[in-house]
Amino acid sequence: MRQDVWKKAARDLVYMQGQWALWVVGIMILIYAALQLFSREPDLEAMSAAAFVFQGATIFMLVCGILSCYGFLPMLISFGLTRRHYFLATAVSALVLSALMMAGAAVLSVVFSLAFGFGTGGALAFAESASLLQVPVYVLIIYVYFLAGWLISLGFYRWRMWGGFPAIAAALLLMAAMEYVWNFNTPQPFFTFLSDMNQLPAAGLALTVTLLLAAGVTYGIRAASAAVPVKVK
Amino acid sequence: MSHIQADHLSAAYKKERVLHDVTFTLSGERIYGLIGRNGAGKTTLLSLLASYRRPDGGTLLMDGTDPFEDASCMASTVFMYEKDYSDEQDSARVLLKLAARYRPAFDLDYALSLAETFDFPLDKPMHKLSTGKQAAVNVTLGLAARAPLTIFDEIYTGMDAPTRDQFYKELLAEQERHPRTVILSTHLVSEMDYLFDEVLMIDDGQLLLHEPTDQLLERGFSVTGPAGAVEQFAEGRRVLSEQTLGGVKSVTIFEELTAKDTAAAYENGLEIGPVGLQDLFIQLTGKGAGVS
Repeated sequence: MRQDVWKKAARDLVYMQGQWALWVVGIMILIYAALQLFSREPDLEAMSAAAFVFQGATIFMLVCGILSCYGFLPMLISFGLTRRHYFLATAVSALVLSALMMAGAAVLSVVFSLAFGFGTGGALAFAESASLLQVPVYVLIIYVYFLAGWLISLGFYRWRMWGGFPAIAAALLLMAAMEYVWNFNTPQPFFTFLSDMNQLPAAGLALTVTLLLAAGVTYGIRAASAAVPVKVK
Repeated sequence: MSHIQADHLSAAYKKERVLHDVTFTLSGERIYGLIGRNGAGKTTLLSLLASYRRPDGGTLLMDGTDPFEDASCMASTVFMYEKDYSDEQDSARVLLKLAARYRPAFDLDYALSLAETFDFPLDKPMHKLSTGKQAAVNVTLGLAARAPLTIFDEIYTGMDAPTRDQFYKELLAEQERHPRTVILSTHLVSEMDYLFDEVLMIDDGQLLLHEPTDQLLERGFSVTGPAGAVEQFAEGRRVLSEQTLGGVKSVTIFEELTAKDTAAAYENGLEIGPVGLQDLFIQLTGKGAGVS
């Protein structure tokens, strides 16, 4: 059925980006293992492999999002798919890829924790604040990072710098919102000013905000890409 | 695609209008030549047909359906242009297999046989291929897709002359085996004119003419002879160009030649000659075209 062609495209996108993701996860795991063996930094010792991979995965997904409109949109349109197919395939493949990356990292986390005692804060802990940070939340957040990249990609692709720079601002706000609602205390200096602000207290509220932002941005991307002209070059 | 109807199409990039008021109908599985100078609006028109962009005005229907974002129409259209493969790590084989996954009628075996015909490597990354070999891959992707509407936008310009010749032969053979609507955009008019069943000539964003090739060629002729007699013959006719050498003058006229005209010309010692599509194209789209 032609209507299902987007599922085929989604599988292909997962496969293509999954190959890159394997490298990213592999390298992150090697670095993690080396740090666990040789570093005496308490935060790092407490951190699980999943939490460590998660940090690299956010940047990886951001980059995948940025590449999307320039790589995958023209490719799929040239194979006779519609923009709607492209949107569905990209959104679903990003979610699946996020889930696969974090599921793989979680399995490795448990193995490292049980076999070598890595990650003293817990098998899936992020430093000391382990209570809220479970794999589904990791998945959702790295998907939001993908959306941030996708937003930038679409902004530049459709409106050049007039859309690109506002899209960068919107993406930064989106990422800052993630930092704020999930209080990751990541080492990115741009966001440190938020660490003194009152943090949102409940995981439920954080999850709700994240879901609303993800849904809103996903909808916005669909609206902006529904009739996007495809460049002939 | 058996019926394409474009009605007062227009397109603009920002404030610059690149196509205006273009109206035509393509009926039947034929080969159409879209010819025009650089920047005339050929690629923009083809982008509209391939749903790469939406018209800013007018309507476009394919078999009665607006093709933009229509899954069936877009799957039935293949649009090949000179793509930038400078960052493409995948090989031609990967691209052909991908096309076979998505294109309903793509014939992978035929595509692989074309790889031999055009002699391009299947397993080298695309960015390492020469421009001519990349063009051959594009041609292969277009031909093997067997899409009801197949559009080639000047992708053959990077090919060398023997490969272009192979492409023309292959196109005709393929059209015989699997007829479809083919649109060839080009400014290599002289070597491709025999391929076209019909010609659409575009200039400065407007459609100058759309006619069957044979009828169009019948409308253009040259008249050579004594200057005075030529001027008398040409009076009141659409003269596209004129040249004078000493007392001899030659003009190109764009008008149907009747038997009476021919007889009158011979009586006055004038010589009537044919004009090729290339000359008509140059003279119809050149500066000062159709001044008299």
